[in-house]
Amino acid sequence: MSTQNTILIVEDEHDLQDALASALGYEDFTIIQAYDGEEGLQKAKDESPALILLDISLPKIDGLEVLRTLKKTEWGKDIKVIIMTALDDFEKMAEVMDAGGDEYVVKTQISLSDLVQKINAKLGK
Amino acid sequence: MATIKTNIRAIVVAVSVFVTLTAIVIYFHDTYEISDRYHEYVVLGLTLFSVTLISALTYQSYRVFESARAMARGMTRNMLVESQDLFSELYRNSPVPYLVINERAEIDSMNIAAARFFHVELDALEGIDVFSFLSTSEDTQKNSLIPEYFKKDKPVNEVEVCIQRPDKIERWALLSLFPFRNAKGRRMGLLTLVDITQQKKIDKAKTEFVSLASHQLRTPISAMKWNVELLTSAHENQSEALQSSYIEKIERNLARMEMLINDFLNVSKLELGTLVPEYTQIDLASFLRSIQDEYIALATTKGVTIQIVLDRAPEDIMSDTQLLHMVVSNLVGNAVKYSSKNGEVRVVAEVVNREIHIRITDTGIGIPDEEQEMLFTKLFRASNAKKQSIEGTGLGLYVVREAVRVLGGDVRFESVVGQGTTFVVMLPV
Repeated sequence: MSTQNTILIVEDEHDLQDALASALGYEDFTIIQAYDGEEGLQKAKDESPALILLDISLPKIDGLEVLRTLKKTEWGKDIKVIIMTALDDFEKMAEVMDAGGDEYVVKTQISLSDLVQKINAKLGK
Repeated sequence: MATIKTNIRAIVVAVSVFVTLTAIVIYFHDTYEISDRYHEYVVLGLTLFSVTLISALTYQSYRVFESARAMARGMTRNMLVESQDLFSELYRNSPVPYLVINERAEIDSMNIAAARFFHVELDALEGIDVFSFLSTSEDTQKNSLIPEYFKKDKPVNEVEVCIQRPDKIERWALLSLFPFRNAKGRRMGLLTLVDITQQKKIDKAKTEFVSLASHQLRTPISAMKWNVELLTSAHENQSEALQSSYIEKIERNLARMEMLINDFLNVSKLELGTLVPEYTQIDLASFLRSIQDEYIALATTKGVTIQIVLDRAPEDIMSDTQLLHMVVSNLVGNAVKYSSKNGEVRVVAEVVNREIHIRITDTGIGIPDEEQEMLFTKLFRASNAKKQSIEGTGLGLYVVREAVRVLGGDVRFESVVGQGTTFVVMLPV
């Protein structure tokens, strides 16, 4: 069972991780943080978040691989995923969609408030 | 053999001329009677003498004519052999890989350059379908068009292909294929491969560099944007401590961007080769102290001490400030960055054999043995540095080596994983 108010942030850049956590903290979400793909998958399994903010380039297991693994599992296939990337790469975007990503955002192009709006919309708030 | 034949033929011709003329003389002798016997012998004698002379001349002329003809025939043959030799020598020794294939695209022969390209003996691939070497991992659509063209007897001009050699190594080449008919009228193909693997590698490195540069520059931009947004958004009960933590992050990322841009600019300056060192007198003590100051904040947070030892150093050295700064600042920065908590960084300058040596020693994570060879390669980062998510561009040591080169010096290092690393910069005095 997913926890409706819990968001898992998988991002290796500490300053980006902290900024996301602060912004979502203001919105009364429960935040779980992971700094690489392996930790991300483990925490997704253990904590059953409602949504995952997933960076593409991650140490250990990269974001796309995390997404593919997630979609194959019983516990992970229904978790909503927003992929974050530093690049506006259309090929990558197609790959994300193929792997089952719900949404794709470019970090430099999206403000925290827009991101919060997107998350709320995804969670039906 | 040829001369004996020519001689016999000449003798036969001469004898027939002699016999014919003699017969004519005898005929006329019988027809016109000469009364005076003395005159008769004189005329007959002279006539026979003339006949013999004409025959001898005929013999000689025939021989000259025949040998001239033989010589002309020989020369033509020689010229043919020569031009054939020339073409096969060109084919054999051309620096461009050439292959001749039959109508089923099987390799008929290849030249030395082609054997070198495929890394095989000259006849090792005879009879093998040349198109089976087209790599399927890259751009299969384009590769499959080439056999189609050959079937339709159409030439192929400089198509970029990836070839997988028998030893499984991939090489890039520009492939051209010209169909032709051989002496027996069979359809053949002359295939050339111009090796562009090196250019491809450079292109790839450039693309990777641009993508890495943009990726690395974008991360601090996002961090700054988001922290500014957090700072300016009208969230209630934002404590002063929280606000200053946002400001601190903005400053940190600004510094990070500055560092990145400096690295990128230094690389491009060094690679353009336009950097001509401007030698000035540098006060070594204050130069090294200014570098110590650059990293004192980071060192303090990690509990790392930076020691400068100048006991055996000259007061001043002649060098280029900008280049020397690139070198020493990068090395001291690395030493602090890769030091474990409460470690020690020592910077020792001394004169050794008419050279100035600057030795930077740390007690850091060290460089794995198997990766040491790659250390100065552009964009290379040691696996243990990446694993511990220590920030870096993979450009610092590349900049160090290039800058040291411009200064006419050398840089070496010794390292043990888990114990630390010592870099020695050796510069001419």
